[in-house]
Amino acid sequence: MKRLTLALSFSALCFSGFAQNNSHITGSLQANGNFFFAADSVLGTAGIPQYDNQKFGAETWLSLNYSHNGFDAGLRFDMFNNSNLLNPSASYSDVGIGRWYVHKKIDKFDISGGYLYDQIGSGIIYRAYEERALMIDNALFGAQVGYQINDDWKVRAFTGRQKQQFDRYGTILRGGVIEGFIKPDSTKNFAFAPGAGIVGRTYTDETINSARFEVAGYFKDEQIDLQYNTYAATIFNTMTAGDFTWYFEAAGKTKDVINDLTAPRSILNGNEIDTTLGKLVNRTGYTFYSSLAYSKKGFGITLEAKRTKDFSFRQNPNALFVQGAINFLPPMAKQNTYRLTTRFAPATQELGEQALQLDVRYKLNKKLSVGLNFSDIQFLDGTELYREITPEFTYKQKRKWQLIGGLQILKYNIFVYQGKDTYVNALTPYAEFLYKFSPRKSIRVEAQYLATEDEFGSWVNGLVEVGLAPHWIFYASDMYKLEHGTLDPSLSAEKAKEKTKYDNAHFPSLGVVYSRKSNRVSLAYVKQVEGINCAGGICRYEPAFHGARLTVNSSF
Amino acid sequence: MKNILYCFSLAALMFITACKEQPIIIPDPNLNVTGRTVLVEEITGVRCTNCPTGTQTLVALQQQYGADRLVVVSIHAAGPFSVPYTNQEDYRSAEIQELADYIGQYFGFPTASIDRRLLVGENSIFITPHSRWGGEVAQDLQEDPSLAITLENTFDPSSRALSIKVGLLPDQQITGEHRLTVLITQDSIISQQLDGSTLVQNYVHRHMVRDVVTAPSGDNITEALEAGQLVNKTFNVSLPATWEAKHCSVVAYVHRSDVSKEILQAAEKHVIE
Repeated sequence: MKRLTLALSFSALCFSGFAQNNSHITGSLQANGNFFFAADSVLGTAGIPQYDNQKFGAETWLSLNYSHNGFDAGLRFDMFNNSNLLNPSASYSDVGIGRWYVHKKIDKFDISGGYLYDQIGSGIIYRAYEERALMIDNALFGAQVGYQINDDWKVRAFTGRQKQQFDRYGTILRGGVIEGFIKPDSTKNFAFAPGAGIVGRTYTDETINSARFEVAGYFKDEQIDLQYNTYAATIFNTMTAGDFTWYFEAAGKTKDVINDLTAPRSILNGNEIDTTLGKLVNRTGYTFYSSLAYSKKGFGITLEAKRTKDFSFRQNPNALFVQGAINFLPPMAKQNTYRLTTRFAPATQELGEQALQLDVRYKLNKKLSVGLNFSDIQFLDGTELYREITPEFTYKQKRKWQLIGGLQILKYNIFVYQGKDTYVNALTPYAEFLYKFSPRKSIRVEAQYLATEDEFGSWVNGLVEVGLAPHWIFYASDMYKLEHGTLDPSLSAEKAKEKTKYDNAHFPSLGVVYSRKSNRVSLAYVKQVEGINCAGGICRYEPAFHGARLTVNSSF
Repeated sequence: MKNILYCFSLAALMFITACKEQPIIIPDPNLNVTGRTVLVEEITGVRCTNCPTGTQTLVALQQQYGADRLVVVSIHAAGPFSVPYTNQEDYRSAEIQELADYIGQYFGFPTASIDRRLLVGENSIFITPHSRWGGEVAQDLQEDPSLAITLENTFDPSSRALSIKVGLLPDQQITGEHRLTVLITQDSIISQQLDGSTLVQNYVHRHMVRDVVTAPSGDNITEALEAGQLVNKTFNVSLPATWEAKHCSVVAYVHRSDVSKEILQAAEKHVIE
C-alpha cells in the first residue's frame, strides 16, 4: 500500500507539468481476458485450475510516460488475475506497480533510476527486457549513468537487481559498456560501430549456502569449488562496407556455478554406485556470434553463425527455463509465422550449441521473388538438434493478388526440446493467397500440411481471413489431425494410444478484430493443441488451450 | 580516443581488482546430528517422463542421510501425468489431490517440497530442479527440531485394522497455529511408469501416498504445545486388502497453518516392524 501511495504521488508530481509547453504524455494499454471452457482430459486441460474451477484469467499492463525538456518519467500498472502466463499449468494473481522510472539528460550526462530496460551488444552478456507472451520482465531495478564522451563515443554504467514479478531477485548486478562510431572517410559508405561491455554478478548468501550444502552431498571427487562473483565481458562491432554489413560479437564468462541437467552425478544405490543426471558445475563459458549480410536491389543474403559453451548466466543456478535470465542468446532458426511451420520450434541451448543460418532472397522480376532459408543447430558434439530448409516464393499480380508458397523440410530433436521420443522428421508445404477485391476489401487464405509419422502424426491447417479496412478483420481457422495410417507394429499399446490420441480431432479458431486509430480489440474462440510457445528464441512447453480470448491494445 | 582508452582501462581495472574473494568451505552435513527429520513431498505421476529421475535422487538422499532423518512421500497428483494406463490401478484420489493442492502450485517436473519451506526468491514451495533438493535437505537437517514425534502402530492382519498413536513432545513452547497430518504410504509397488520415452512395465514405485488419515490440510492441534508436555492423538483405519501391509508405513508431521505451511518435524514408522 505504501509503495502504491508513493507511486501515485510520484505520478501526480510528474504529470502536474502536463499543461506546460514541450511536455508529452504517452501511454499504452494491453489487456487480455481468457475465458476457459470445460476441463478435458484428452486435451490435457484437466487438473489446470483455470479449467477446473476458475474459468477466467486476465492480464493488464497500463503504461504512462511523461517527457519534458530532457526529463522522462514513466509508470506502469500491472495486474494478473488467475493468469496462466507465469506458469501455463497454474494460476497466478497479483497486482501493483510493475514499473516506474525517471530519466534526465544533463549536459553530457544521462541519469536514470527505477526499473530500467537495456542491453549490451546483442544481449549475450546482459539484456533487461520484457516479453509479455512468456511473462519475461527482467528490468533492472537500479541506477544507470551515461556520459557522452564526444560525438561518436559514449559510455554508461549501471547497478541494481533484476525484477521478479512484483519483487526483486537478491543477486546484485553491475556493469558498464562503451559504444562508439568510427567513419574513416565521410564520403564513403564504410564505418565501424564497435563496443565493449562487462557485467558482474554476485550470488546471494542464500544461493551460496544452498550450493554449499548441495555440493556437500556429492562424492568427494565430484565436489566443486564455489564463488560468489562471476564476470561476463563482451566485445562487438558492426562494420558497414558498401552493400555489406558484418556484425561480430565475442563474449566470455569467468567461472560460474551453474546447473547442468545433463551432467552425470554418482549416487549410492544400495551398495552400488549409480549415475543420475543433473548437478552443479563450476565452469567458464563463451559465446561467439556473427552475422554477415549483403544487400543490393532485388537481392539479399544473410549468413549467421553462433557457438555457445556454458553460457547460462542467471540469477541463481536453479533458475531454469524462462526464469532468472540475465542475458539473451540470439536465436538461430527462422522466425516462422504459420501455425504448422511453428509447431516444432527450437529453444536456445545455453550450455552448448553450434548453429548456422543462411537466408537468401532474390527478386527475379517485378512479380516473382524467391527465397531460401537454411538453419542447422547442433550440440557441440555434433548431435543434430534442429535442421530446417525452407524454399519459398512470392508472386505478386500487381496490387490485385499475391501468392506465397513454400516447403519446410524439418528435422527436430523432440527428445531434447520436449522430452519425447527421438526425432521428428516433417515436410510442411504451405501456401498463402491474398486477394484484394478493392483497396478496402480483401480475403486471405492460408493452408499448411504437416506430413510426419512422428509425435502425433500429420496435421492440416487452414485459415480464411476477410479484411474490411480500416476497421474489421474476421477470420476462421481449423487445425485438423489426420488419422494415422498403419502404425509401427513394434509400438506398445500405450504408445500407440498416445500417438493417436488426437486422430480426427479439430482445433478450430474463430475471431474478429476491430481497429480504430491506435486502438485494437479482438475476440476469438480458440481451441489449440499442446505445443511449444516461443518468443525471440526463448521457448517453453505449454498445454492445450480451449476457451475464448479477448484482447485490447491501445496507445495514446 | 586516448581518453576513451583511459576510461575503459580504469573501469576494467576496478572489475579485475575486485575479483579475488575468500574460499568457500564445503560443510559436512553429517557432522551436525540434531534429531530433525526432514519431509520431502514429491509430486509424481505414472506418465511423468522426468519423475523417475527425481525419485532416484530422493532414494539416494535417503540412503545418504538415513530413512529416520529423511522421510519421502510420493504424491500422485500431477494432473494429466498421473492418469493411469490401461489396466493400471489409479493411484490418484480426491484427498491426495487436495493434499497436493494444499501445498501449492508447481512448475515442471520433477518437483518436490522440502519441509514445505518457501525458499527466498521463489514463488512456489515446490522446488525444481531435482539437483537442488540435496542442498535444501542438508540445510534443514542442521536445524534443531522444536518437537519430537513418536509413532506407535498396532496392526491386526486378520481384520486389517490399524491403530495409529501419535505422540507430540515439544522441546520448547511452540506458539501459533499448527496442524498434524498423518498419511499412509506404500513402498515397492510394481507397475507401469513412463521413464524418459520408455514405458517401463515393472517399475518399482516408491513411497506412494495411499491414504490421508487426517484432513489433507492437516488436523488442527487444539492443545497448547508446551515444552515437555506430551500431546497424544489416536487414529484408527483399515488397510484395504490389496495393500501389502509389509510395505506400508505411517508418516506423521506437524506443520504451521498460518501464512507459512512449514513443517516443524516429521516421523515415519512401518505398519509391521
